[in-house]
Amino acid sequence: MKLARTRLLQGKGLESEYIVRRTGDPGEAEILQSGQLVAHLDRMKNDSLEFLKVEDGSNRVFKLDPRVDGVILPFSSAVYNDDESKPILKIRSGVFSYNGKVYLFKSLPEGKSMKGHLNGEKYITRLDNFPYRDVDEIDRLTRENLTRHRGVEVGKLSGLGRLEHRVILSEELSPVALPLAAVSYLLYSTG
Amino acid sequence: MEILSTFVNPTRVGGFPFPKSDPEKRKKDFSEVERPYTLEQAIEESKRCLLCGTPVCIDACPVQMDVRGMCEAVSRGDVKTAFLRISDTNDLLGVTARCCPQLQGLCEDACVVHWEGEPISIGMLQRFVSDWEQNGLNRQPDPVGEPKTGKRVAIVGAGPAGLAAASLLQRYGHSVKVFEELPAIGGTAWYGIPDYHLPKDVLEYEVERIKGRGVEIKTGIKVGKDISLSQLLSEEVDAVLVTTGAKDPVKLDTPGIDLKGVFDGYKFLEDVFVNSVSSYLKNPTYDLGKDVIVVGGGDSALDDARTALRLTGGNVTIAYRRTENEMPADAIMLDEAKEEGVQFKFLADPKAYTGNNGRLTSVVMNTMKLGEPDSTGRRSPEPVPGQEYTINCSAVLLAIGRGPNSFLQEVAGLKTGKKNSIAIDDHFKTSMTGVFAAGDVTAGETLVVKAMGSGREAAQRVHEYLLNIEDQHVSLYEQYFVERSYEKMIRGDDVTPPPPS
Repeated sequence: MKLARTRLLQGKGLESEYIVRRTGDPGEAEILQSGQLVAHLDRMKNDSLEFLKVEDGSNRVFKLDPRVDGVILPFSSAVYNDDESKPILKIRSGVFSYNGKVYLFKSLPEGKSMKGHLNGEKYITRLDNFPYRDVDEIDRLTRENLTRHRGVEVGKLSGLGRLEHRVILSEELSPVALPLAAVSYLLYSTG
Repeated sequence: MEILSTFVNPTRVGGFPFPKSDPEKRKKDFSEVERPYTLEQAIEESKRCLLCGTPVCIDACPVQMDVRGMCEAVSRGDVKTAFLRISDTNDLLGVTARCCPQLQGLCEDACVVHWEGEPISIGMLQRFVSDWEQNGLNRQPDPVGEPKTGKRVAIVGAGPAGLAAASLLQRYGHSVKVFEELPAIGGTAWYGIPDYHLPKDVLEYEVERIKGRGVEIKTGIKVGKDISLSQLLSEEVDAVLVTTGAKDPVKLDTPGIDLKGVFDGYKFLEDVFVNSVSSYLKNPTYDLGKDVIVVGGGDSALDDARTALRLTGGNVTIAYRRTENEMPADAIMLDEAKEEGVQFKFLADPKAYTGNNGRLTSVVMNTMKLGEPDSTGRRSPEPVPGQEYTINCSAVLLAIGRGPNSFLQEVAGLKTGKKNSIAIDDHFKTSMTGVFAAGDVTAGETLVVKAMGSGREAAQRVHEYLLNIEDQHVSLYEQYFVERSYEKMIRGDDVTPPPPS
């Protein structure tokens, strides 16, 4: 299938809070930071690939593929730098690893009651003391029981993409914060 | 909420999380806690659904139940179409509507309305649709299966994973025989979930439907004892799928644990419910007394406590070694237990059981404190020296966790993984040729619907193995993913009609 090629715009520093707002079909959105447009999400017709085009003059493009290691799973995405073949991020069923640590999307931090699920509170947490450093290493039994794991809060998610999906991420994730914000919207909040 | 309310009501019909019966009445018997929707309520609630182009509710469902299609149909009052859509991938609709913790990591938690308000009451809508079909007047025809293949499959264990697998394999055209060691069919759904949560006639109806399609289920046969795996493969079938679930309780060596009056909480539930609770009530076998302590913090501990409360009318206390925040139990069920009068002692763990003439009379409790996080990230409980205390009691029910049922893998020599689970590869294959495994026996104790999802995935793999088409594998989720693309929905040629304009 033909993939879109887009122009990259000038680079801009990545802050820790993004707002993602749907602009048309679910795969189309604008991403703002401090009120400024920093990226667009687009999708080719009849294709499941998403393109995150950074609006900073750098012409940088991320490719977001629902297929992770050749397999399509719920709440999963592989993030690539444009034409590179190795992903910079693999989110597999809401779990991803970065810099030797494992993170969970939409989890509850340690110390928060399970009632947080009822209230709709959603966080990204880092799993300290976790016996694995990479999502590819996690064994089946552990994977099936990840909902019992609690981590350290490193991000907070809120809002519906049709209105405003807000993603706040701590500094340790700043190099991948923009694609994570896009992934959070695509996987959980397009509406 | 103000912004969302411009196009959808942010509160759900009937209250959050769902309408319930009065706790003072319901704690005296095993009648259902949840009160169902009327047709009018179901239509009103389903109209809140945004009919998303990317339905994350379906993504969050381990069996990819067509939630969006259900909401669309119910919103028009077309319950029949709703049933046909959701029964396509879910053979235990009434069971899962009642048992799934929808708000904890499943469909309602994923519902995008949850970002701004109360999510769609998917469980209640599903229950409404299921009850409509089960009421005797609206029985729907079975889905048309594939032509017969001549292949035979044995499934070991008639719990949720086994039943879901059996149904799918039968649809693929294979001859299916299920072996179940207990007298009742349904596994944990039958004997591990009390009737106030899941009335057994709901499960019986759904099991009978699966049997009516041609799935043979033989109870009272223990594979590995009455017949061996290798015998099955050599004499009877072309493939075996093991779905024997979770059964092995965590064992402790607490002093006094062998006293009369200290019971395995999982066995307790099995004994009370396996032949129906009404049968048990005529001939109760547990002498619990009036002061029961339940040790544990999960759903089974809550079920032990609420069942003991109904049986004794006495005092029931749950002792958990961490705080309420760390309890893994379903938050809704926890509230229900509190409403019914179950008491809780947190940061408490038995140090010793003491008794008189071999009979339990009290528990010496450690006061616990939370130490450093363990590998799950939860803070490890540690006893505080010198702060023990004694609670008088007449019975203790232990519900501190279960591992995979290890029986068959031990007798058959199947390779095992963590906690004696059956080790499987990505194709659900075990170390024995022709033998597959799925569900809790491979992954530890999990939810009914997750076990069903695992059973279905394994069934697909067994089917491909039998027909030698493993290289053509496309996962059930991927098949659904391709089908539900947004463009297809807009064009109107996907599996569900487009949302009304």
